[in-house]
Amino acid sequence: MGTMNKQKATWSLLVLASTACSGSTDVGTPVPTKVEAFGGTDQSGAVGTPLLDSLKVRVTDADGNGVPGVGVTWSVLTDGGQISPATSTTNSTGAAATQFTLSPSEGDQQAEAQVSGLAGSPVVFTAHGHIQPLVPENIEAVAGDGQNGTVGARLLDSLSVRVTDAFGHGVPAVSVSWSVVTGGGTISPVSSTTNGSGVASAEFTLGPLEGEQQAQALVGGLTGSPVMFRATAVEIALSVVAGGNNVPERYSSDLWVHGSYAYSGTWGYRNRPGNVLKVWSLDASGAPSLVGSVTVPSIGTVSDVQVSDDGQLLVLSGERGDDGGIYTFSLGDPANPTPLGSTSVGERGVHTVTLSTINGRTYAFAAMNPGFSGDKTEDKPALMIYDVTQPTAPALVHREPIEPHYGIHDTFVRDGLAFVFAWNEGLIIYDVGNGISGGSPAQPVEVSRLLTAVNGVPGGRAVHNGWWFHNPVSGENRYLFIGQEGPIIVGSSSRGDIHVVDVSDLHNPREVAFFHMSGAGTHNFWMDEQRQILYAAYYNAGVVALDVSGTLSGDLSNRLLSQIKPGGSSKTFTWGVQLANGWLYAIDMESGLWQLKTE
Amino acid sequence: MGSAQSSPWMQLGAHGVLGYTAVDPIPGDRSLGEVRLVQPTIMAHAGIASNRLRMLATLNLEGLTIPDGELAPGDWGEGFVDRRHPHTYLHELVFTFDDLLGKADGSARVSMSAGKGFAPFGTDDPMSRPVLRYPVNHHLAQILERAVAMMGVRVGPLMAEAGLFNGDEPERPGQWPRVSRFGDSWSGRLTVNPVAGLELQGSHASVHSPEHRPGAGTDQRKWSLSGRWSGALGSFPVYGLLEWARTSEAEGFFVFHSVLAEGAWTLGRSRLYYRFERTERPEEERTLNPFRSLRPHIENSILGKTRWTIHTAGYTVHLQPVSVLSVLPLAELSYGRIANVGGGLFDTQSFYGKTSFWSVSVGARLSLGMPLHRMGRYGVAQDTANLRGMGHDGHHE
Repeated sequence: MGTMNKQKATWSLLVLASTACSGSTDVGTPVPTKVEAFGGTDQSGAVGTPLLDSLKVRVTDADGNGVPGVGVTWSVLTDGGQISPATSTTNSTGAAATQFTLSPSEGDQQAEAQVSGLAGSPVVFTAHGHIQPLVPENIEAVAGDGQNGTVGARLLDSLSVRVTDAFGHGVPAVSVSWSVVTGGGTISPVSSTTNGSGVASAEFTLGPLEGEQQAQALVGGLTGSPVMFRATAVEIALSVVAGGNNVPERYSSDLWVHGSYAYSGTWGYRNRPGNVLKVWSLDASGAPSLVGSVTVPSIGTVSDVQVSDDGQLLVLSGERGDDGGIYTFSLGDPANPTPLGSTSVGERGVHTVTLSTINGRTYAFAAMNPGFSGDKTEDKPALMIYDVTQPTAPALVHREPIEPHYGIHDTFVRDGLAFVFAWNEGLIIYDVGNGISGGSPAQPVEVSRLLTAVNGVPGGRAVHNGWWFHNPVSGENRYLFIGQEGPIIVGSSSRGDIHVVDVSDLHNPREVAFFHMSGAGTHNFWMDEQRQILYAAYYNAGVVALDVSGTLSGDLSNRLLSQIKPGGSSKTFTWGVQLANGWLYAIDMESGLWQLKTE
Repeated sequence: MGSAQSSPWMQLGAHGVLGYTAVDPIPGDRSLGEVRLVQPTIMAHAGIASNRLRMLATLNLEGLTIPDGELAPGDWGEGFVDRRHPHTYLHELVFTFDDLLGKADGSARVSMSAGKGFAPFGTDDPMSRPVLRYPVNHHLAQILERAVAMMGVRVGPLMAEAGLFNGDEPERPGQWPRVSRFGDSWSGRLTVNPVAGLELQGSHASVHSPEHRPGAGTDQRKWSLSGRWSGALGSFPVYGLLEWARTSEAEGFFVFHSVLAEGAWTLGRSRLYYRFERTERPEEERTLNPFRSLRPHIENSILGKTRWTIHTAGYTVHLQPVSVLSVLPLAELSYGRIANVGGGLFDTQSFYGKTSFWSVSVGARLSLGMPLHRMGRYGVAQDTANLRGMGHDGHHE
């Protein structure tokens, strides 16, 4: 640090005068950071001939945007092969390509793409050269199965199969027949030919009815044929059923629904301070009616609410007062939460709290805000882990400091992993009992971390909340959805995208997709995992439903299924959503608790 | 001080205002009155080497006398709302090497200054201006209490200043600038004196994360234009200031404007003064103490934006019971209107119970020894800082 300060001081003196005349700092120019394969991998071809498809790479910046104008050097690693051109330049999307001609030798052959200084370089491509014609033996699905789609609309992802020989090499130029099996949809083309990697694709347009529909790919005589593809036709149309405008004296905050009761927090100061937990009864039709309020003294905001899976324990977090912390309540009588215990962190408060049962004990993962004591270590925000198995006396079992880049906003805990959303520190994944890194609630072990893209949102990454999607259709636990909370004028405008991170390798999470809504920013999520639909509170844009089936990549703007502003244009600023009892409940800061239907 | 002095010199001074201020309304539709000692300052200025090496120091003791801030509707900043924040104990400590190049630069003069103080941006600190009440635009029109290093060049009627500093503003009186952040922000100011007594300035600043000390906050781009006149109408000293300021934060997501005009007219021992101000301010979420907003920030949100249109008029009379002590009894009245602009949850009517306010202050300025200087002017800019330029003793240049 001392060296850095000297450098800064020297620079300061040299450029003191000139800086005042410069207009701005580091605007616009993307800096390439990574190169990766973008097409042409795992091809097969006859020796001495060009591969069917070009080799392609893509160069991106730290935010995942393609960087144009970057030189890529191509070379052959196997004697006798040829590559042309030997250098190329990335286009406007960051992609560059070349053609690989195989050597006369049979077997695996390699070529590579190099961009000096970039992560991922060199990118190695392996192709299989054959002398005798390849004999197709097997066919399998490689993409497109298990998607959702709107009734009557084309699925977003193509259906794709790969044809291989007995040794797993892709077989080019095999004709694949496509047909619809159920649902009355259409598929196009009805016949396609495998490419250099042995892959063939078709587009499936769903029929007019909701529910599962099927299509198939057929190559006579191959093992695995026909390959069946399932898709679900959904019709999501969010609409208001009941509720709304039912907390006029306070702004509302978080929501949790359990059984026939709902609990919502209150925020800031309207005509009254946000020191109250609201208790709602849900009637047989799901409509909410307010049945009680519980005041928490010495806080100004009930920032988060959750009920345990067994419905016996409610925990809330408090901030904006002298006694910020977590508070536990018994739900022995769900209409009358009874205080059990609390633990205070003082004026700094706790922003969110998440319950999770690990090895038979119940823990509360609390996001403690940065402090103001003047002690740098003490003032750091932290993940506070409390054992609340005895909720009358929450016991702190671990404090994990987080760098004070605004701090930790939320935690999502599942399968013994704690996903910590730590603003400009990004995503941090801890093992708190999963076993992947030997961690426990008392001794969390960091598995990995990721800085998500800024996406042009003022204020930076602003990693705020998330949901780890366990997809029962695909059987994958691949995607983590992250909310970015950009700048906000509460009640009026907001910014911030949904970022999708592939965590199939938990040690190396990587961002793969995003959803952007112009003029609005996202907040808390709920997921209908069975139907593969993400519901996101979107502040001034209300509630948004997204199709998150299939493979997620790039811009997900075409996956918007439905949107609603429950309080209308003038009184909508939605904090959170939750699916329960077949209804979608939305809590809106201005207009209170709403009951919505999804179709 | 602007005059050359070949031998080492030092001047000392002290200043303060003891007064009663009453306001209606404060948050919650109540009224409140307080007796406070505000602006208690101790100043020391010194020079050696024919005045080429200078020191300017100002201690501010508001951390002791108004730890909860000064009652002032509309004022905001550093975690205070509707109360003006106490300044840090070391308000200024700036060392200057003036006339760096000697005769080598001909008629030009170059200076370098460094220390803790104001960045070269905007207008003079309100403490050294005639009106007691701080304007709402204090954090739009000045950048203060930073670790600064600046250069200045004066050529005839033109002057250019550029400086580097730390972006973080103080959060409490005892806090020092974060040295590790020095150089993450900069500003520049161009000043021209087309005729005697008239000073026109334009300045721009880029301030990194001013409201989040570790540096993760949003950045500000600030602009300021002003014209200042200090002279006389007939035999009566007159002072006038017209300023416009704009701050854009978070790449333009938050934008705040200010227009301010103020003037003072001195007749013998008496002085009349008036200020008009129309300034937008952010409405931040407050703690259970309605005069405090949340610090440290944990997100980039505000509840809305309000526009404060304020008229302030005052009267002082200059008494001098002994040669080194000035006493200026004063009475000051403000009336303002508050409007919601630009959306957001914040509702002026429900928060204050009204959309207008009154405040009145009575008390006395006390000044011992050297009078207040134009705070924020160092190096080549310092010689425009006639110690009595608009000081509170009733004299003008």
